[in-house]
Amino acid sequence: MENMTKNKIVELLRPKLEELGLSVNDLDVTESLLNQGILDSMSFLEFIVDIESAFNIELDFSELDPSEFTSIENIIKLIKDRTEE
Amino acid sequence: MEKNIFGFFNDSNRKYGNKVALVVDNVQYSYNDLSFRVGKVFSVLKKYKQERVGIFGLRSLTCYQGILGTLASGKTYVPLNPKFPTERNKTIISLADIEIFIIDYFGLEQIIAIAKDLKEGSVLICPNIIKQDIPDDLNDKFKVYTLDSMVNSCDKFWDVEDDHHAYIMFTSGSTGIPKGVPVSHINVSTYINYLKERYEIDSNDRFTQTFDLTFDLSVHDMFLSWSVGASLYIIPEKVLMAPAKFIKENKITVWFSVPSLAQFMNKFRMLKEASFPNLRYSLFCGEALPKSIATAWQKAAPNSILENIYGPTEATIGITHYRIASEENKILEYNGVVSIGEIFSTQDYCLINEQIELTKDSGELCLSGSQVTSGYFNNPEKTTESFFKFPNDNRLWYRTGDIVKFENNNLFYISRKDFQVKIRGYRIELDEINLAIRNFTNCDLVYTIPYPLSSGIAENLFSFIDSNCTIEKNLILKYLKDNLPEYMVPKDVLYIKEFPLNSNGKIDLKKLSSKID
Repeated sequence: MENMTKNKIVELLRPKLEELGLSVNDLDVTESLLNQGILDSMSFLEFIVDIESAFNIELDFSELDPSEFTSIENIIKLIKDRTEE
Repeated sequence: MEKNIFGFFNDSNRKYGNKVALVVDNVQYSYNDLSFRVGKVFSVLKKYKQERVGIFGLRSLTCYQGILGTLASGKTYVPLNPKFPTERNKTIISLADIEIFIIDYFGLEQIIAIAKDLKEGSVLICPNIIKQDIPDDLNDKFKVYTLDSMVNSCDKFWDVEDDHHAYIMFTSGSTGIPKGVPVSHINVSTYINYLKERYEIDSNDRFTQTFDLTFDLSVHDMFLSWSVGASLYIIPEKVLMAPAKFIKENKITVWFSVPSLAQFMNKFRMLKEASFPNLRYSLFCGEALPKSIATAWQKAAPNSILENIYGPTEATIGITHYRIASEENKILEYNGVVSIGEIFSTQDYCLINEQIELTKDSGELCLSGSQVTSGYFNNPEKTTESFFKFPNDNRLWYRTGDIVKFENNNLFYISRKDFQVKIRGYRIELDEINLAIRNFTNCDLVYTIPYPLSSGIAENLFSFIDSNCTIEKNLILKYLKDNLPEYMVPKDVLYIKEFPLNSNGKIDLKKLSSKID
């Protein structure tokens, strides 16, 4: 299950990675996507909106602390929490 | 009236020593505590005669400690930004001839990268970095002070002359070289004293800091809050993407940001009805404020007074204000953009035409008064271009390059006179980007446009280049990323066979933007 979620997330990031000339193997799932220079704050929230529609969940940005969910690992956790609710 | 703007902080320290002055990354620093840390920086700085001090960090404790310490010692601070490419920081360091740096860990990374270009014997003051983290070659080449060696503090500070420079801000220049704007203590204290009277703020307020220190609006946050003994909450970089929770949790009472941030929050559904009941003042500055954003914000912050502030760096932070009516139909606007209102009552303005003759209803906005600076740093050429005097009038006027109109006793922003635009509040000379692309590609036909533009705010930049150019766009973008701040790098570079022209023979921006998709 977790692996499927991860693959789906990585798929959403693929165009961005290609643009930067990076491969999936360059991704660090534990490190923030912003710190890795893959997304900036604008594209990050757009990415989260993509995730919302891909996983059919809705996130409330006014209740989230964005510094807590910028790594792929944390995004997986977030999706897991929402889909279990 | 304060002479040295450090006095705003120092007076509050005497009155409210135990109150919180600063909150960085959830750590609170009282006025006493911060003052003690400032004293440590001051004790080092007072040994040196150099005028200018580079503040190299990312809105960290070190930066605030460094800014206050610099001002206390009567020196001038020059903010540097670890988010900028090293090339740009290097340019600023050499233009401002900086030999003393106050640095945090982010600044240290860049200092290491540019160490070979810095003057031998330069001084690195690292109040919160431990000795072991400083590489040996830095210790050999520079005089380094670290957490371990900075033990002595000091609480006797010096006074300065009114016209002494408090800071120098570097802004984008059309020739490709950034322009330094030196701002004096009297410039800043005039501004702070004026707003301190205008707003009912006191030591119980909690102010935000959303601006990078290389943006002069950060000076407003620091000194307005400290002037009344209030607390300054630094919104961490990552939290700036979605600051709603931060505002609520910390019970922020005074908000100040560029309209883009509010627009961003609105887009991602963060401006929910009555979600910020504690906000008492919400101020916006730095770019055009769309009316739709003002009304969305008012709904989210029903108890807040909203003001739109306008002002160029050359006239110190802000110089006009407009209080936004809480009833939507009473808001004065032009083309969907909220009025910039009236000039501060302590300052003067006039409107001129291209012949520098006074006009009445619309024209280029010119400013004069105690907030207006006296010219660019070591740049007489640019100074004469933008600062002037009328015959038989000894006052110095600054030409803003902004075309405005005067109607219903209020000023309205219409457009820029030249090719300057704003992205997320940052001032950008499009020609500076064009020039960088030309230099790199050797191709003359280059044109950069802001797109999409909604209500005067540009989301992105796109550069167009003649299709004869053989250099790949990824290489161009990489070069720009290495040489320009991130907000100046276009979203895409498009190759074009023929540039569309309008009837005046000028490049047709509308047709050009229709090629983006």
